[in-house]
Amino acid sequence: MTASAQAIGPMETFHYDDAIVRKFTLATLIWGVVGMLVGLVIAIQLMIPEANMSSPYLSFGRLRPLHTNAVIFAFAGNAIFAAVYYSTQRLCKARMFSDMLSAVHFWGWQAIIVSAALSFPLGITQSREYAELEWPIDIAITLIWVVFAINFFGTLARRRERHLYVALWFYIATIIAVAVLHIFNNLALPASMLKSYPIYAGVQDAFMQWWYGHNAVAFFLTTPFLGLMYYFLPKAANRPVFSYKLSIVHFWSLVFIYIWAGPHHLHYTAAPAWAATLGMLFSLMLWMPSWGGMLNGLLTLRGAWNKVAQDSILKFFVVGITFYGMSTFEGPMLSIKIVNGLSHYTDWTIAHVHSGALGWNGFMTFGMIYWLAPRIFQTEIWSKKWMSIHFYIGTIGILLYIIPIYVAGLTQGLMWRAFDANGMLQYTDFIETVQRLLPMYWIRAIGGTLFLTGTVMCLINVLMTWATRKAPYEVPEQQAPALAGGYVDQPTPGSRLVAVTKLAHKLDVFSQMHWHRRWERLPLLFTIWVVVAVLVASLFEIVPTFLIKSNVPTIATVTPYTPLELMGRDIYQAEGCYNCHSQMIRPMRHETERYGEYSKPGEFVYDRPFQWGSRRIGPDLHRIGQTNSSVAWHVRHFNRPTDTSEGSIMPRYPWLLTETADFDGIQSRIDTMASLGVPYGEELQRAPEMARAQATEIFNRLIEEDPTYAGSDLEDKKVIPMIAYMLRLGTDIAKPLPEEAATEEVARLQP
Amino acid sequence: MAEEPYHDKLFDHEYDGIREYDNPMPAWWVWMFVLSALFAFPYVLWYHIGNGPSILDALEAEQAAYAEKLLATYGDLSVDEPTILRMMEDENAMLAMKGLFKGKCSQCHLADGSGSVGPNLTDDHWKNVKGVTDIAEVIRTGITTKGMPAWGDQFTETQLVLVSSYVAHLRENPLPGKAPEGDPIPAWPAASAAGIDENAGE
Repeated sequence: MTASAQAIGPMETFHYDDAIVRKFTLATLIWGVVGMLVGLVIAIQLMIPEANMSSPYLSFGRLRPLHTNAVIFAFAGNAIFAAVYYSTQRLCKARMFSDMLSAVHFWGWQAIIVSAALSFPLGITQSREYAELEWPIDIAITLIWVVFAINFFGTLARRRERHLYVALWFYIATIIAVAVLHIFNNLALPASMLKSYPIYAGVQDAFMQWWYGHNAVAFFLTTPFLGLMYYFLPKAANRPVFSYKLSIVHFWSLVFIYIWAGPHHLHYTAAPAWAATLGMLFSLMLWMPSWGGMLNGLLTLRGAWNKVAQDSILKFFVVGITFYGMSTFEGPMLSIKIVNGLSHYTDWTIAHVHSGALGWNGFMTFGMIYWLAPRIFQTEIWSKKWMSIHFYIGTIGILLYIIPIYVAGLTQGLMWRAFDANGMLQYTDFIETVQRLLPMYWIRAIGGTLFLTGTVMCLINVLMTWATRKAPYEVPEQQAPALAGGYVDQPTPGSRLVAVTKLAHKLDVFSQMHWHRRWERLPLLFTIWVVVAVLVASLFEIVPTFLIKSNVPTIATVTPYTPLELMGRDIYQAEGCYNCHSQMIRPMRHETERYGEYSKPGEFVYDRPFQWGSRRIGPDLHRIGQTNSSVAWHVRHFNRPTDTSEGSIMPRYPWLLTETADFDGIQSRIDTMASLGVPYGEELQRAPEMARAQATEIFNRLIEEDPTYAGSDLEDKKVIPMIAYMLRLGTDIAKPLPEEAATEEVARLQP
Repeated sequence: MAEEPYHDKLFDHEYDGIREYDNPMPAWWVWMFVLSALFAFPYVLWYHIGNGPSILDALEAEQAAYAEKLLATYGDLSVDEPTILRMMEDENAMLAMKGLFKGKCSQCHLADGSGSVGPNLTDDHWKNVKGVTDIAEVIRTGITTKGMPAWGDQFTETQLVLVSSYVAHLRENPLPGKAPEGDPIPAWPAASAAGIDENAGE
């Protein structure tokens, strides 16, 4: 009797729920078109800033998070759910645990997406990349994720298949890790219904955010898509998976190693050097675990390459997996400190993520949807020709997107660091380096348009397929025996080695991975090991980051933001300035020459959230308070950047000069900050008055600088707090030590 | 890859029709994985336990090299009238400062010095300056009430001289630009009239 035939119960009859798969599939494509369209809109704004029509709701800084969140959580998210709901039922030989939970999951997730699409243009944001949604929506995400988890694990519990197939392992890792990441990164204290401050500050906040950011890529854009690949690729190719052993080893190494790699986003920053090194070394180690997935995908097609030539679905998969291989080679490479020193803050990062997002996530999703469409709509696909055109137009689109942006990234990285024969910066004016990229941006927009066209073709193709569906759908009856207790695992194989030590025998037995087969029939045990893998790695990095004091040496002259400056900082975040401006001067001479003294960890202790940024479409702003202290300049610049900076592609912010700042609202924000440990004193009693007084001071400075503003009504407008924040940025370090601290400092230096 | 031992033996399990082969992991994959992990040990030993240069060491080295270059080119300049006037005549120095002025000053004074938010630096009207050393002083401490930042922390004395010389030399090419502000001041004294020669400025 074979293992699979034993310990079975009575035959049972059941039906798969494909209605939920149809819903998620359509949502995938609809949100895909929306998310990519927003991407195209902001790509055009980079070349033609006026394209935002000077509307706050269409401004780059507000739409960019909408683009990233829409393609990650709406397009890729719904695709993941479609894949999970279709394949889990079949791999478990069971209907989803609860139709009600499936429906709550679907509609809840769509409601979250709609709330994101509304809140970002309104400037409601936590300004933490890919975690921008404010706290009420974060709570909703947590709840819906729990619903999803119950529905998924409930299905596993009711399965009629003894062992879990590798796709399910990846789904388990996804559900566990995303929950951990989402909750711990978003811990924040609300200041109002639509505004919160994170419990982490400065360096620690940066650390948490990139632990999250990197692993969102890992566990939202990688593991679920590997699960998807492991189900849909062998189904579409009708070929066995190349190597079960490779699945085991690359799964566990991926889950364990990915978590460590986050700090590679913080190379050369004020984050501690040991963390950056861990991030880099684990990223290098991640190369082969990532490629394990690519190999198992591509080698599964051995003997089926003739099919690939004729089948558009397999073509999508092959190109998707190839892009996965390329971007998971590039990722470790970019994590090497010196390479990162060149690539960071440039378009190289944008090219890297789009080769992953368009190539891997996009094409795997399209391949899956084309394979699913005839099955879930129970009719022929409307047009195979369109499917084939989509493949070619999409591939050309990806190449036209990423190649010019790689060139742009390299160009900008090299221009930033170029010195002339005198040892002076060769391109001192940042705008020169921006202008040089514009032709590349045009080609990128063409590539993006082609890719979006392909997505629209896919949507039309699926809608037309849906239109020719049978009504009503057939729901075929499935039969499988229930699982019964008393299952006995296959006996542990003996060692294949002769005449060596006992330990060698044991290792040989271990390496045959028989033990893993047992885990596969015990989902709870399996999940516990996933939790252990994810948490161990997280704790090893997070605990020292918070406990070792020397990670953030204090600077005596660094003081909390004044109420007005805090108001300005909040406006800075709401406008999404961090999308284009970093606040992190790296310790490299070309940066210190360009921007001033490099950034120190102790300067950020009151930054909640940190605003280091990840991309410099505009210059770094950390020392803007030192290098540009003209109020009049800032007023003119916010109103129309080209008035002061010819060739600037920064959007206009005329509304900052017309919208009144919320002076009274600052008290609750100051109070929240104080609850988080920010040492405020007088501010706790009279923050609005203090803010008004400082606003008057700045307004008077404006008039002093330029008397033509004397009759203006700018004093209570948003531009004033914003400028207060600008003038403050990066200046603390240059302040004279307060007397008391100076004495302490002397005492410290002369023990 | 044909010589690799992929015997394509199928497992007897099957999931919704999907089968799996009992193939070994590609040997090169295993070795690359092992090597990528082993790399961590020498790296940490050298850069974190041993004497490998830190990122800040590298910055210091870069800055020291530049300081040496400045010293070799211009000597150790001190901020006084004869030195500033003398450097105005140094065409290479003025060329070198052109970029720096563009990067740091042009936002308010424009790249040619003709002024926008900040005053026109090419005309004969000046607000806080009577002689060339006043230029250095304004650059060093700023006029914060008028929006001029203090650059003292960011420039060495030598750089301060060079930038001041560059600003002073803009006057040699008056441009229409922003309307004159402040009072007219006499022309800078000639370098020779200030009583210096090539060896001065020590």
